Amino acid sequence: MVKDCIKQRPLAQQQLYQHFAPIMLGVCFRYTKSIQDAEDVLQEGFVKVFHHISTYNFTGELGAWMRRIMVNTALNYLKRNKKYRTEMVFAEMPLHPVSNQNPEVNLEAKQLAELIRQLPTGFQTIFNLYAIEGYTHVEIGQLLGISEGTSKSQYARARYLLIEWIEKYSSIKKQQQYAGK
Amino acid sequence: MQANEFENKMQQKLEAFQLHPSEAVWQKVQLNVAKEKEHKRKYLLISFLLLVLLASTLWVADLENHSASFNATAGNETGKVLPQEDAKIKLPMKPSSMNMQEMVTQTSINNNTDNKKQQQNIVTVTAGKRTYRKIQANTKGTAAINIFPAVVSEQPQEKSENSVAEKDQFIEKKMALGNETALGKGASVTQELNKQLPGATPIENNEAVKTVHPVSPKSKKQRWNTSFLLAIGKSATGNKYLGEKALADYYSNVGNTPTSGNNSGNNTPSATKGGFSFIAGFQLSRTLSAKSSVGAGLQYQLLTTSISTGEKINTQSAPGSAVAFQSGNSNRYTSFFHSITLPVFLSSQIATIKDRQINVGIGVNFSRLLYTNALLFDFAQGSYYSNEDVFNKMLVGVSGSVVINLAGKDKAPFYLGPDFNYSLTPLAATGMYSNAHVSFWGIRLQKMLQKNK
Repeated sequence: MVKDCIKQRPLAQQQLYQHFAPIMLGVCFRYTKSIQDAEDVLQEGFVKVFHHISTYNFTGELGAWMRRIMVNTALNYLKRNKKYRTEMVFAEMPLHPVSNQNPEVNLEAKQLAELIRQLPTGFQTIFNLYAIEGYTHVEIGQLLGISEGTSKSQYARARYLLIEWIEKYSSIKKQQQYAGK
Repeated sequence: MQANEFENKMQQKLEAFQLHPSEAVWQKVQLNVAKEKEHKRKYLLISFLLLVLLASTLWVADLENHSASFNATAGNETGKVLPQEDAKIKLPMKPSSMNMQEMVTQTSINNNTDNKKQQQNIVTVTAGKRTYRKIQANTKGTAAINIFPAVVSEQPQEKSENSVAEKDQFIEKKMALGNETALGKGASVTQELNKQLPGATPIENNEAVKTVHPVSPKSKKQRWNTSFLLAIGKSATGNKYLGEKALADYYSNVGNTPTSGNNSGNNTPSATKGGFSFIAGFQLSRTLSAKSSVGAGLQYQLLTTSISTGEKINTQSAPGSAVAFQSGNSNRYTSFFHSITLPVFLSSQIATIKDRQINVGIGVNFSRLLYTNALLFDFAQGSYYSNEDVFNKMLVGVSGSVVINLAGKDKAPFYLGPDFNYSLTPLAATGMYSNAHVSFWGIRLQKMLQKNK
């Protein structure tokens, strides 16, 4: 399929899209605030994938290679889109004292993704890059043009907020379940 | 590990998270992929056309060089090239036996540029309507012009393959004889020929025998010429065509114009109007032939366009933006596009009117956008804001010009004429300028520093 995509065969491109689009939209969804924006990123990302697929060297997983393209496309989208740029203000903050908490994560993937999207764009981006994509703070600093310390402090803040929201959300859910019984 | 437990859980849950995109996404992907293919094809076509042009220019240059060396064999003492008809030397013929005339002209040219005398022999053979030329080096240093007629055949002239082959063989022999006589033995070819053709007028008496003006190797050399140019005119940002157009038209056509927004003005961006623009720089051109040249240069471009805007608003609503405006018609905002361009061009003389050369030039421009203050339109807010990052920094375009030389014959050329530039790369990768291309129409003034030879 990849070889056919390199030859720019439309059928192969469609198959590749159908296979990877749902999971890639999941990635784009976490970086944006609306499904329309996520779809815009997805569209742009797939155009890049088809354009650069000849550079894929077949050594790593194709999904991982595409995911990197989607993440980079999402970051570019955030940088050039005014409504995201507004919130992409990175300032170093003092590390939050409760940043090492490890709560239960009983929520569904979509609920978690929705909670991540509630974070301010800067926090959201850094959280996604560090916790989900596995980038280091040094790498994040290079990607976003910020210092390692800023990335760390922003991440700690994001983590704290997210844990708080997950706990609240979980307790509301439990209460609803008890009320239902 | 305890510290990363939360991250691991999140990663596990979210890595497999999937959402199904709407149908429209795939359609847009297809559309964009097709667009990219089209762009690729466009660049390939332009490259091909440029190659064809380059090849044809080189071919024309080659033809001109050949014709110059042919004319040199028939030049008079002042070096003025004679018409080809005059160059044919009338030779006596035996009416009964001679139905075809062969003429071998051997021209020896002394070149005294070095202390060593080097001699170049241009051998021109005219057989009926066919002309043969051969250039041979000779170190003997004897200059001579030898012309001799010869009977080829008593058969009627036929345009068959055999007769042509026979003629070729004969001419080869004659040329060999000419070389041997003039170069090898040092004997007078004239005497030799007069012996061979007793009925012919002695060749010394032939008026047409002239000293050929030497062809200087320097005049054949290609050389560089510098020129300064200034083009003044008007620029426009259009959507896939070369005129002015409201970007709003494009958006309404593709159905992208949003219907909601909290702006007090319109939801569509203003029409762009062309403004005063100029291009200034220098060019280096290399002569390919008497009529064509190839070159490159460095230019500064200032292109301006303008749009209608409403009142200036606080940039807090558009962070990062240097300036922001509401949509409306109360203000006129001028956008500046400053860029540095590297043009690569081919120029050919297409005509001469009253000793004034008319040249056509075409080329490819590689531009680097240095700065722009052009405003972008926020459809949601119905306002304009600036963001230079959105604009493509590298632009590839095409250019063309038709110019006439206004300078006198003996002066360095001064060209004047219309000039046109069009950027094939859209102004921006995204947003309202993603389909806009910059074009420039103007008058070009170009002053060459050296006279054309």
